[in-house]
Amino acid sequence: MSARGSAWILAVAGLAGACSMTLELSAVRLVAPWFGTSSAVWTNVIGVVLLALSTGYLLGARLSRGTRPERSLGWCLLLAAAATAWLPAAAGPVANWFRPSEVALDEAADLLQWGSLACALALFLPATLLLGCVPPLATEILQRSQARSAGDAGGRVLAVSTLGSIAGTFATTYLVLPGLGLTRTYVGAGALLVGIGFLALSRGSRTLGVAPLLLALPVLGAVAGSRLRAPDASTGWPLLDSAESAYQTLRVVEGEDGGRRMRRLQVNEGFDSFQSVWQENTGFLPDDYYYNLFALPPWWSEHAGVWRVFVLGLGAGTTWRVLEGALPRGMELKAAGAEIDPAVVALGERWFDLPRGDPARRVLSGWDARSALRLRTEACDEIVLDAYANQMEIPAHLCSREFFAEVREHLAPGGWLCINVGGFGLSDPVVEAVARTAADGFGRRLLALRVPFSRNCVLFVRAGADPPVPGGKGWYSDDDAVDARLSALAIEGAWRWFEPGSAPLLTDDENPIERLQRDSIRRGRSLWLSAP
Amino acid sequence: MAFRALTPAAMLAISMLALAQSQRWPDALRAADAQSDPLARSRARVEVFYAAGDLPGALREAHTGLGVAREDPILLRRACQLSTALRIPELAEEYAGRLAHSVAMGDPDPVKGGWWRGEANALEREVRELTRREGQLERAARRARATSLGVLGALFLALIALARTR
Repeated sequence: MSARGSAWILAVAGLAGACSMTLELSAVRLVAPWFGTSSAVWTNVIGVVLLALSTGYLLGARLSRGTRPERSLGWCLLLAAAATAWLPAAAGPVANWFRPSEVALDEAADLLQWGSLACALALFLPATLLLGCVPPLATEILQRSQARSAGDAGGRVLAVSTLGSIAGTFATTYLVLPGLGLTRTYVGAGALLVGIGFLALSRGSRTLGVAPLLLALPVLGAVAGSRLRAPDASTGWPLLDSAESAYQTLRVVEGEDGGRRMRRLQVNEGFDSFQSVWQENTGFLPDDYYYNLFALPPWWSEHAGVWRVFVLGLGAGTTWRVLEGALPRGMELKAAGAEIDPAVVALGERWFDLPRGDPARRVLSGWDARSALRLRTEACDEIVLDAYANQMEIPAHLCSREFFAEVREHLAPGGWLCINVGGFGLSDPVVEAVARTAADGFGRRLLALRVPFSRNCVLFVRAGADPPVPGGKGWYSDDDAVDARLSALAIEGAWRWFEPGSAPLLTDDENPIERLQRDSIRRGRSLWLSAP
Repeated sequence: MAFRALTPAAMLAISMLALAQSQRWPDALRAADAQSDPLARSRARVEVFYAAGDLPGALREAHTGLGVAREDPILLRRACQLSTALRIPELAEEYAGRLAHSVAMGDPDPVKGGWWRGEANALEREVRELTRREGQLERAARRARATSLGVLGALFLALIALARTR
């Protein structure tokens, strides 16, 4: 066989490599609506893929001893095609079996690890294992057809397969997933595998036979019927809109809370939770929304004129809307915010009244919070940190001592940093670690407040000053609505001070925030009963 | 008009209500703490924490109060509601059982007794639902562990078998 005659097998190896990376990179996104995208989920998916590939290599090696490796290769590719194309349809039932839809996010800690592993094994093992058979079979075909040495044939196949994997990696993240979405990505990969499967079969024998055609039928069926079905939204909160972004699955739902019409932006597995909320009027939300506490610093500050706010983790702009309607009379809001996910900003503009093109409301779309902060030259009166990864934890680079020191440099004298932290009370390990670290980064004492009727806490620390003592001088305002909220925060157990210099601290170098988060959830409700 | 003297408990209830309506929670808590009767103090503190939105604080307080008055239906009812809201099934089950027992032993008045029985039954239903969900969660976790370990074990054996094939 000529070099040109062997090109087909190298093309098959390259395309199969690309498909295996598409499958792997999309895998986390596929299970994200149930299990999120934490490093535990990534680890499980990558671990399963590597294990499946290594088993596939051995199986491929075994199959390559047959008389017609082309046929084996064709069958492997057709079976992998069927297993890939049906992944969107299979994801919902399989994931629901391992994580019941009624379970709240903070109840599901154990399930997020074991459930995502079981789900990855059930969903991705078959297709990846079959794709793992391709390199040894391709090597064998190349070696036999061109009488090359094993090393020469294997090296060529590995080189092309790896190049295909690289192409698949970049194309999946930057082109295919954002452009086509999950369902069409998987069905498209299945169709491609069918194509190269038939190519391999046609090289193995002159007639294809009926069986391969029958096997192609499930893939054709997948084109029509394989659809991803995300978990149901909360009862009474119908879906208004949804989107697949480069980061997450997004849904906008609308319903009633406390007699008010509200909208919520939900992401990935957190369908009992929300990433942003909207109500018709600006100003305070119902009592259990932590955003209300971001509106307190202007009342605690002797400040007039423009109140300059920068929100790190803007979402769909809820903090801005709360501040807009809750500022003291005579104060004017000048706001900026960074949101890493442009799709969140787009949904915010459409459903959450997030302003577009307003010079007093500057949106940094697609920016990581820390990079965006470094760009800022104007000092702020208040910086709000409301950035979350995987629903549960503040990203490590946004809760380090070095980061908090950077934040302090961007605040005007007496300016405030407000941090939203999820946790089981003020003794929660995550709350304690973030509070100690922020206090240390600022070199000032920090006030932690428990949000009423909620498992969120908001931390307050100032540049060169201290927050007011709960219930003491400077705590209350002259506004009844604000004072009613402050009163609930002044009772014992609703607040706690954290002093600077108390170890252990989170740093850029050493930041076990995900482990602390797991500890928090594991100890969870017992923390509520033990201490304030 | 004859002046009808209020009992200390009624006075406390009225002053607490006034403070609660004006949402002056620290004052309401101080009024509760001023009570000399430990049971009345506990009940009042539970209500203040509950209304101010500190549900874990209210549950802790109810737990403390029940150390003083083990069968008090008012504290048991709140404790059961709170542990259900905070999704602590073992605690909710315990309080629901104790409330049902306390109600069965309690007021023979058909109106008052009937109301309490209704409350206890409703709470038992809620606790059963919570327990059902908890069971569902445990079964899902077991399923996930068994599937993972089973498939990983099978793969490991397959790997060995394939590696040993000549």
